[in-house]
Amino acid sequence: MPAIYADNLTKSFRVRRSAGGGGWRLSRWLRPSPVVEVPAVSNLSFSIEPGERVAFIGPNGAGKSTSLKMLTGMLLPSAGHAEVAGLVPWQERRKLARHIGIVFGQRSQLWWQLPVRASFDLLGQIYGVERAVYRKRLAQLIDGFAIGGFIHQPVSQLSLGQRLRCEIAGALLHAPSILLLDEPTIGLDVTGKALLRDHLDGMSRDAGTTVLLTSHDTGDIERICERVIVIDHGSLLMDVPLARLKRDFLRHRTVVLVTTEEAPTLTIDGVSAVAVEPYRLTLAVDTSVVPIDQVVTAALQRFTVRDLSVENPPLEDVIKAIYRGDIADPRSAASRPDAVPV
Amino acid sequence: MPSRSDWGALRAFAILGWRRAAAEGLATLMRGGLNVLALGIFWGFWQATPLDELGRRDLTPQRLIWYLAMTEWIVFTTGVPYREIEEDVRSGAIAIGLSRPLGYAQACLARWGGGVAFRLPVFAVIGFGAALALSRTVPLAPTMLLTGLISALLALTLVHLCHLMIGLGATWTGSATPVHWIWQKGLFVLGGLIIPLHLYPAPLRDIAELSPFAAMLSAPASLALDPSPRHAATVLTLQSVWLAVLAACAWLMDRAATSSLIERGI
Repeated sequence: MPAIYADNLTKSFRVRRSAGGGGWRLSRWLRPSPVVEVPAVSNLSFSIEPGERVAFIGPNGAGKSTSLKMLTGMLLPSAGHAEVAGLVPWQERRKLARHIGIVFGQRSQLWWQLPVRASFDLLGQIYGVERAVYRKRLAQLIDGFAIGGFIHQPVSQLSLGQRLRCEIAGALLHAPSILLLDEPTIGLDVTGKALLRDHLDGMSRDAGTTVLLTSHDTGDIERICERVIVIDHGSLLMDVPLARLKRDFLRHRTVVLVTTEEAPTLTIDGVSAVAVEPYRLTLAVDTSVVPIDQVVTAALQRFTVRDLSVENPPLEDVIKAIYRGDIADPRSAASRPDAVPV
Repeated sequence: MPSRSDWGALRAFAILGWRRAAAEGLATLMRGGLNVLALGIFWGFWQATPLDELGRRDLTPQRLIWYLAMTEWIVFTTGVPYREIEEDVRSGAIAIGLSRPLGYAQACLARWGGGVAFRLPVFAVIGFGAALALSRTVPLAPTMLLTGLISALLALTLVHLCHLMIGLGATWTGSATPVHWIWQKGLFVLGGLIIPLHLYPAPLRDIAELSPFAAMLSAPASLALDPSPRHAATVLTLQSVWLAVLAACAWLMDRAATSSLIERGI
């Protein structure tokens, strides 16, 4: 049974189209502006197996948070079906709450005026965690997220990074099998992000927790997830393993050659020199024109190669390319909107 | 019926409410000071009023100050809890509440219950201490003190159910403050905050006594004027009827608000 399953999940919001003008004009009351249906998520289908760690990405307004809210039971879909931990979220929201942990990067589930430890104690009681189990779990989380140094401080006195580590630890207190994270590293500096990702990666891997993460930060995705679901305008754009996304879905890849020749040059269609230095040549390869293996073969035939590397582009560039519709690899079935990897 | 784990969660929220109330020490003391000031002013006012001209033997400054001490006890113990829901709706933090294994309304009531458990004895000591110091009498016989406490707890439950409904109203209106303003004026006037309802002119008295507000303030406070077992039984019956009505209304409103929130989104 999948941990998370969505079948044609659809949500439209009914919005009154503003006619402009003042708020108290009589005409606004006599002739109210028409109500329009604004689609937020359209026929979204995917399945996540237990223990998988999946990134759910898309530009602002793509429908990520709306989808996440439907999966937690906080939002009723207009159509379609979903099951999380075998439960229909919007029908069994409170029962589901015991199986999932939720972290909203911009909202706190801890109580600001209370020390972190007191907040955790309350969460333990709210989720009905047995005392002995709670103590053991708390010790693991304190160690795993390195929060022991400030666990007795009020939440209001913590830095953002410290608070977010506590938020995630709090969401894991009842040992949920599924963790849903909405922008968990938002607002953190580079060090804080790295620390949080390391802790989250370790804890979720050790516990075999299913993770569904929305983030604009590709670092979160690269560090934690193995699979990426890309949505835009509420529809599934792509659902692929992260490695495949990076391998297959960028037009340009970089080949760096270190040669014994002092001034190496290579002229092939689809290949351009990015940097030419003594004994070193950096090439940008358009993989839609020429496959990378042909370029490497040609380089090995022409030069005495001391070192060779093929660099994947930063995930950031991959995602920008996807949003632009600039997806290079027509061979991959996964570039179709309905594609789901096996 | 809440399950065993629900009881644990309710207890946790009650503890949270207690801790929050305990953390508001200075504010509580200031409200206590206001309570004493109000009692002092009205003590002087009742003494300057020729109450015997009303022809009611039960209306003495001593009894009236205890009546006021009872109504103010309920008002000061309650505070303005609806604002927590309003703030949760405005900020979207209600999403956190909806993602927990306990109903949002149940969690609110449990949290408020914890706060009441802290403030009730605090304001009892302050208000009743002031009333005792001013009047040098205790209107209730020791055997009736428990009845007075039960009546006050029923009144506080009714008031908090109203706050719950007012707060949940923010789900549709965005702001619950205007509704609370009207409700509070209704409570003060029709509930008989300062003057017992039987002193009101006939049509207003009838309206007030038929309203739920009477069960929230006037009914428990009237035990200070008529501490007889028969009157106590009437008061508790009236409050129980309104408890059933308002609990049903709050339950329906909670369902409607939750449905509205998950339909429209947070």
